[in-house]
Amino acid sequence: MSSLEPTRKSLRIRRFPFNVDIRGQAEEAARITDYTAVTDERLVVALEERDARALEMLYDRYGEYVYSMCLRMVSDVQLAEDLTQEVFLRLWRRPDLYDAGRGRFVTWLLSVARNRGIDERRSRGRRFRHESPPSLASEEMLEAAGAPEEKDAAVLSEERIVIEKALSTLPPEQRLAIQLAYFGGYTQQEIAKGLHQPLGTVKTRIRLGLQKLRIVLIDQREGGSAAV
Amino acid sequence: MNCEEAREELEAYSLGALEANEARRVAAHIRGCDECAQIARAYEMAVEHIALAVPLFRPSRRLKERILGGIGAFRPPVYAGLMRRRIWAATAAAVLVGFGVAALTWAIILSSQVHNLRENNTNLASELSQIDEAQRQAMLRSVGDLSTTQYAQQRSIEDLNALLRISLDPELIPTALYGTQLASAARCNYVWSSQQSLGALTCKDIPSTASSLTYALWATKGDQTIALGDFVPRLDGTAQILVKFPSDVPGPVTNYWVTLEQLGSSRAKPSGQAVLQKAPEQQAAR
Repeated sequence: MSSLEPTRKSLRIRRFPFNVDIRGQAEEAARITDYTAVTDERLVVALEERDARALEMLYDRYGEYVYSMCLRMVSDVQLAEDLTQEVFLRLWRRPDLYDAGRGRFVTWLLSVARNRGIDERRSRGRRFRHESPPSLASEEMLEAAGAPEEKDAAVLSEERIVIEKALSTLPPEQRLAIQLAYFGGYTQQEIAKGLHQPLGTVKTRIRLGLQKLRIVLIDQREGGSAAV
Repeated sequence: MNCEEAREELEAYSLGALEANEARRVAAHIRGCDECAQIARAYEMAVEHIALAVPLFRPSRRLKERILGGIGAFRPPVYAGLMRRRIWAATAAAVLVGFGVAALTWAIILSSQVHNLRENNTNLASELSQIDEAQRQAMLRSVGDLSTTQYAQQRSIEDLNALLRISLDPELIPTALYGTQLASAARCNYVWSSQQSLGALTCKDIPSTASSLTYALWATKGDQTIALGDFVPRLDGTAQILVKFPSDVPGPVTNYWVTLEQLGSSRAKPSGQAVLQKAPEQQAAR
């Protein structure tokens, strides 16, 4: 046991508000002395070692994002919480599904949440979508469902500013089509039907909008020197 | 699907906006086309960023407990309940201890007060008994004084009645007594009522005596000397005494005189000198 390794007693005393018996569970995880300072990828490794504190830390970092994504997808607070719980429990059970070589953890986690939201919407049948076809009004209603909480200076604040700025550069109709597709989980045909627009028009808006968004993001990331 | 067809759909494919059959066709193409796969990957990275722009809403605080409660090793209700029970138990114990200490303190104070009250009660009872005794004594003295006064008054009334009866006797026998050398100015008159069998002696200018001495009236009846009674002169030198002869002594009375006697001494016979006595001719006349 190295000198840096905290004792089991000290682990139990540290700020951990739940009665999780971690004795002998994670000798490796016990080496994490400051959970707030370790990377997402390191926490995922700790999850494989059944470190409940790592899951708590990942929830503290991204729980609000996952919940907001789910809420955006299903427009139901209770259902959004249920989906958020499923996402994190799935992460707890199968942390190996995340491949660090394919991208950042947060984008993977949010894609899991989004896919779970899409599945939920589809499993609840088309009745939901028929009753609430995608429209500009539905987007406005979703925005008005509650003012977003003031996000504290969290890890993703700078990236949020970048992507929000990039989205704001898009024409409103392109931004709406992309938001309906991404956050609503609607297909192009469903969007066209909901907005009473030709399918070709919706396809064009999505194509042009995503191309421009990609360019803006690359420009902002590389200081405007990148090409298409 | 060729590359041209695929690239028209890559944006929507990356965004997940294609119908399922179209998405499968594009996926099949990019699996065999690295160039299209690379473009699709670039769009996917842009799409992933959109997720970060999701408007944030704060979940309920219970959600975190639910999630951490679902990982098996965690028992939030037990933990929370146990903590609540512990807090309640600690609070209840603290309250009980507080009440106990307060009750004990109160009991000590009450005990002390009861002790003091008992002590005061004992003192008061003692003082009250003393007061009662003093009052009782005072009452007895008052009753005694009253009895004495009543007795004296009654005696005075009886004496007056006796004197009245003697004075109404037409056959009174007077006898004058004169002072001897011890009290030359003193004079007494003695009257005897044979009808009432009572006599009365009235005197004046009788010298005062020491507190241990008293005047005694004597008579000679037959061959016996009889003590008829003691008297002490008043402040003005007068004195008065009623005399009742004993009926069992035979013979006539032949002499009266007064001596000075010790208070409380025997009256079987005179021991002091004569202070008053009959005139010689009066004695001879008898």
